[in-house]
Amino acid sequence: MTDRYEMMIGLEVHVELLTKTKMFCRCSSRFGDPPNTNICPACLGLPGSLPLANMEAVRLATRAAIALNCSINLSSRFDRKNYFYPDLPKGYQVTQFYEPLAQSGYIQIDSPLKKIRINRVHIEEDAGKSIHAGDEIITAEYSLVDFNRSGVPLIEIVSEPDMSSPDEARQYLEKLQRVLKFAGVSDVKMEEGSMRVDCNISVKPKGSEVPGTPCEMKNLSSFRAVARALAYEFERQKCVLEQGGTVVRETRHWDEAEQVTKVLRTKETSDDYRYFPDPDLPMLDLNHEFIEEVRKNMPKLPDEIVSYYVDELGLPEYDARVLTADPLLSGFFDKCVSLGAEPKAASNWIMVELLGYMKAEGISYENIPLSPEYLVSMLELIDKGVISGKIAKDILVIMIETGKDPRTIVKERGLEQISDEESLAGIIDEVIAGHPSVVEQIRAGKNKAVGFLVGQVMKRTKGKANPAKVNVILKDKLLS
Amino acid sequence: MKIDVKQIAYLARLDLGEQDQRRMAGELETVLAHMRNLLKVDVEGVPPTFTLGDVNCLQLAEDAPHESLRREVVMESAPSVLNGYFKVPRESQGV
Amino acid sequence: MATKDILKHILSGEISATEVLESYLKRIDEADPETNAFIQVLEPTARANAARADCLLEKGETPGLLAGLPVAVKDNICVKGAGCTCGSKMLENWISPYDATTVRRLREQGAVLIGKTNMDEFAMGSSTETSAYGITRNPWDLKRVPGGSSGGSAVAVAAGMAPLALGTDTGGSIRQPAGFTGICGLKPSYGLVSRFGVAAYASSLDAVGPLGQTVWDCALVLEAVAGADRLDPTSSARGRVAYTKKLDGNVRGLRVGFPRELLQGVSAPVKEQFDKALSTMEGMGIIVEEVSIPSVVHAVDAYYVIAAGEASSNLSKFDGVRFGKRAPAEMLDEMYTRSRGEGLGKEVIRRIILGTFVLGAGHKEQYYLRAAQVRTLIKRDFDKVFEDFDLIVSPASPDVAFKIGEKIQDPLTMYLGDLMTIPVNMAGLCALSMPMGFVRSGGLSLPCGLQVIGKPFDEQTVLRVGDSLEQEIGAEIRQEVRAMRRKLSPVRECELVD
Repeated sequence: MTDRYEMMIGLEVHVELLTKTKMFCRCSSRFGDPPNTNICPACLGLPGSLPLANMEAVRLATRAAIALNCSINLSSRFDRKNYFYPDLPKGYQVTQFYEPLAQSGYIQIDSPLKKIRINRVHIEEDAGKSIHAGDEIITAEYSLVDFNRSGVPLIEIVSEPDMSSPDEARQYLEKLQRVLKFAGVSDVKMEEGSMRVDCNISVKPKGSEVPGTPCEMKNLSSFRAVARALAYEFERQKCVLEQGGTVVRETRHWDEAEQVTKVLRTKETSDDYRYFPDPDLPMLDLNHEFIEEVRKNMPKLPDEIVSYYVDELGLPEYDARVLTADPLLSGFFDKCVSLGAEPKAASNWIMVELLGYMKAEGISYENIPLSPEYLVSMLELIDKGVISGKIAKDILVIMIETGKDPRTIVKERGLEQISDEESLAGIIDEVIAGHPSVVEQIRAGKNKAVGFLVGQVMKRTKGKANPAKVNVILKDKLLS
Repeated sequence: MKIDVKQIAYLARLDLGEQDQRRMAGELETVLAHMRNLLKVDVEGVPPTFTLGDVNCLQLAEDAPHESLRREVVMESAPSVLNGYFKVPRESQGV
Repeated sequence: MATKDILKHILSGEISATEVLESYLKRIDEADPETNAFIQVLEPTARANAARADCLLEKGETPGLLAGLPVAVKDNICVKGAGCTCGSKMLENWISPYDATTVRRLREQGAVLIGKTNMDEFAMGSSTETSAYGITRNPWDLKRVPGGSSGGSAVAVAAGMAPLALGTDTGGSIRQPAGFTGICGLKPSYGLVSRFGVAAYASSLDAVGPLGQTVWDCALVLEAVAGADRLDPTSSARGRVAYTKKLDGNVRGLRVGFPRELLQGVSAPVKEQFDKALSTMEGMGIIVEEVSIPSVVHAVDAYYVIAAGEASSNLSKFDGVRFGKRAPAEMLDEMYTRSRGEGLGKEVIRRIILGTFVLGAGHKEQYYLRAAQVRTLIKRDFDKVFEDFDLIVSPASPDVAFKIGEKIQDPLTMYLGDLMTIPVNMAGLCALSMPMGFVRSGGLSLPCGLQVIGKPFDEQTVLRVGDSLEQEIGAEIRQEVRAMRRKLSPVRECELVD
C-alpha cells in the first residue's frame, strides 16, 4: 500500500459459551426455541431474583483464556453495567469490568507472521433478542422482545489495536474462531449470533506517533462484512483527514445493503454505565488445581495439530491447514489414519473429493456424509488394486448417496478393476488396431502418445482397467 | 456545586417536571453536602467493602437445566405482549 | 396469650389452627381499618394453610416448627400466586410466580400465611408513609407513624392481628418499627437468612428477619427461616440452629458495651429508659461498660451513598417492559421515563437520583468508593470492640414514634433518625430490638426500644440476653400492650389476641 495513512484496528469479540444452561440461572441456553420459553425470575429480572453462577461457564471461559495464551486472574469479580434497553431485563448487565477473568494473551496470524495481543478475556451475560418490526431500527413501529437468550454466558475477547489491515483483522478472526472451536468453548457461528464482532478503527498519517480518533463499528454479520466495513471506514476517515477535518468519536453501524457505515450514536451522548461491583456476587476465586484441571483437559488446538500433521504424518502444510479448518474434519481425518489409512492418500481424498462434494451440496462439518471406516475401506480397495482411482471417485459418491459400504458397491455394480492380462490383452489389441497412426508415432519414438492409447483402453472398460497394467502391456506390444 | 438533575433523571429514565427537578436539585445538594463529610475521613490504604457475610468465594452451580417458568404465567403479568413476545414501543430517534 | 402458649394449645389439640386463624382474621377486621397494616389479607391461602396443619395434626404427623401459627409477610417478600406490591404503584398488578426461600420455609414449617403487610415503597423510608397504599398508623397513637419500612408487619403484631411477622431491614427497617410499636424484631447477620425472593433495595445491606411479641417468638421464626440457601449466593453455609433451645438464661458474666457515639441526639426520656435497662442488666450479673466506635458517626452518610447507589441499579428492572406499570407512550424513552416517573413515588425517585449521581462518572470515587472504604473502617471498629465485649447495646432510635407528616418533607432529618440502626447493616452484624420501657406524656404511653447488637452469626447470645432481660421487665410491657389493644379497638370474642 502506498497510502500516506495507516490504520489501527482493535476487535471486541463476543462468543457464547457451549453450556447447557445460562450464566446465572439454570434455564436452557438452547438456540432456536419458541420465544420466551426458557425464562425464569432471574433471566427475566423479576423482583427478588438472585444470580446463581454456572460452573461450566467458568470452566469454558478459563479454557478459552488458556487457549488464547492469557494469564488467568486467580481472583476476579463481577460488576454491573447499568443501562436501559428493552432486551436487558434487570436494567444492568453482569460483566467483569474492573477485575476480568484473564489478561495479556495473544493470537498469532500467518501473513505477515504477527502476534496480535489480547488485552483481556472476561465473562458476561448476554441480553435478550429484540426484533424490530421493519428492518431499520429507526423506522420500526414497535419492537418485540424474546428473553430466551437473556443470561446466556458470553466471553468477551478484547484485542489490542494491533491489526493494520482488513486482511489481518480477517485472519485474526478466523484464527480466533478456529481456536475456540477446537477448544470446545463455543460453536462460534456468526450467523446464529454465537460469535459477534465489534471493530474499533482509527486512522493516522503513516509513522505518526499520535493515534487517531477511534470509531466503533457494530452490526457486522460476517467476516467479509468486517473486512469491507474496515476498508470503507479507512477510506472514509482518510478522506476526512485529507480534507483537513477531524474524525468524530462515534459508534457506526454497517449497512449491509448499501455497503456503507452510518452513524449510530456519538460517544459524547452515550450512556454513563455507572459500573460498580455486583453486591449479589462474591469474588470469583479460582485455585491452581482448577486451572490445572482445565489445562489438562484442553483439547488439542489447531497449531499443535498442524505441526503434528506436518512433522509426524508428513503432510504438506497446506493440507494440514485445510484439515484443521474444523475439529470435526480433523477428527474425521485422524480416525482414517488411526484405521490404517496412508495419511497423504486420506488427506487427498478428503480435501478434494469429500470436501468438494460437501461444498457443492452445502453440507456443514457437523454433517460429514461419510464414515471414516468406509473411506478407509475404499482406500484399501484402491491399494489392493481391486478398483481404480477413477472408479473410486464414483464409488465415493455412491457411498455417500446410498450409505452402502464400498465392497458391497463394487460387488453389486461389478466395478472391480480389470487386472488380468488376458482380458486386457484382447481390448488392447482392439485399440491398437483402431489407431494405426498413433501406433506409428509411438514406434517412431513419441512415447507420450502411449497415454492416449491407455485412455482409450480406460474408456472402453469404463475406467475399470488397471492403468498401470495397461501401460506395461501396451509398451510391451508396441516397442518390443 | 451545580447538579444537573435533568441529565441524572434521564440516565435513570425518570420523567420529572421542571418543578420537581428544581426541588430535587435543592434536596440533593443538602444531602450531598452532608455526605461530603466522608471526604474528611482518612481512608488512605483502606480497601473498600462491597459485599458482606462469610461467603468469601462465589459458589458455582452445576450446569444442569431446571424447568423454566411457563410463558403464559409470565405473560399474564406483562403490560403488552404479541405472539409470545413482549411488545415495546419503537425507539425514539437519536439518543 | 403468648405465642408460645398458642403453639402449645395447637399441638395439644385444645385448639385448631383454623380456630386460631379465624380469631386473627376477626382481629384484622377490627383493627386494620384504623391502622392499615395489611396491603392484602390472604384469606383463602391462609385457610388452606391452616386446614393442612390441622389435617397433619389429626393424623398425628408433625406440622413443623410453626404448626399452624399465622405469620404476616412484608409485601416485598414473594409469595407464589399472591401480589407483591413492595408498597409501590409500580407493582400494583404484579402476581409473583414463585415463593421466596423464607416463605417456602415458613410453609414447610406449617406456618399460616395470613397476609402481606404495608411498607414504605420499596422499603425506602422510616415511617411507612411512603407507601402507595396509604400510611400505616401506630396503634399506640393513631396520629403517629409506626416506623418503617416494615411498619405494617410491626403493627400487625403490635395490634394483635398476627402473632408473628416477617420484615426486612436494610438500615433499621425491622428494629426501628419494632421499637416504635413495643414489640421485638431481629435483624439477622448478613447471610444468615436467604434474600432469594425478596425484592432488593440495597443488596449488600438487606436482611430478612422476624418480628414478634417476645424474643422467643423471634427465635422461633428465625429457627424456621434461617440457614444455607444455594439460591442466594451470599447465603452462609452454616447449619441450622435451634435458637429457642438456646434461651437458657445463662447471661451472668457477659460483657456488654454501650457506644457513646450511639447516644448522641437521644431524647432525655429515651435515655432514661436506656439507663434503666443498663441497670437491670447489671442487676442480672452482666458487665456493662461505655465504649467508643468512632467511625459510626460517618455510618449514615456512607450508608445513604451505598444504599442509594445499589438501589438505583436494583430498581432499574422496573421499566414497564416485562411486568408492572407501563404508561402509554409512542416512543421507548417516553415509555420508560413516564412508567417510572408515574409508577415510582417521591422518596424512591429521590434515592434513585441520589444513587445515579453517586455512581456516575466523575462522582464515583468521591462518593461511592469513599463510602465503601468508610464501611471497612466501621467493620474494623466493631471487630475491635467485639474483641473485648460480647454484645453492644443502644436505644433502637433516638426518640419515640414521631407524628405523621412530621419528617416526611425533610429527607435529611429522616435519614439521620436511623443513626443507631444503620451501623449494624453496614457491618453485617445481627441486632435485636426489644421494648425497654415507655415514655409517658399527655396521657399517652409510647414504647421505646433497646437494641442489642451481636457479632456476625452470634444470634444465640443476642437472643439469650434479650430473653433474660424480658423475664425481668416483660410483665410491665405485656400489661401496657394489653391496655393499648383494648383501647385501640376492643378485643372481642377471643382471648388469644388479648
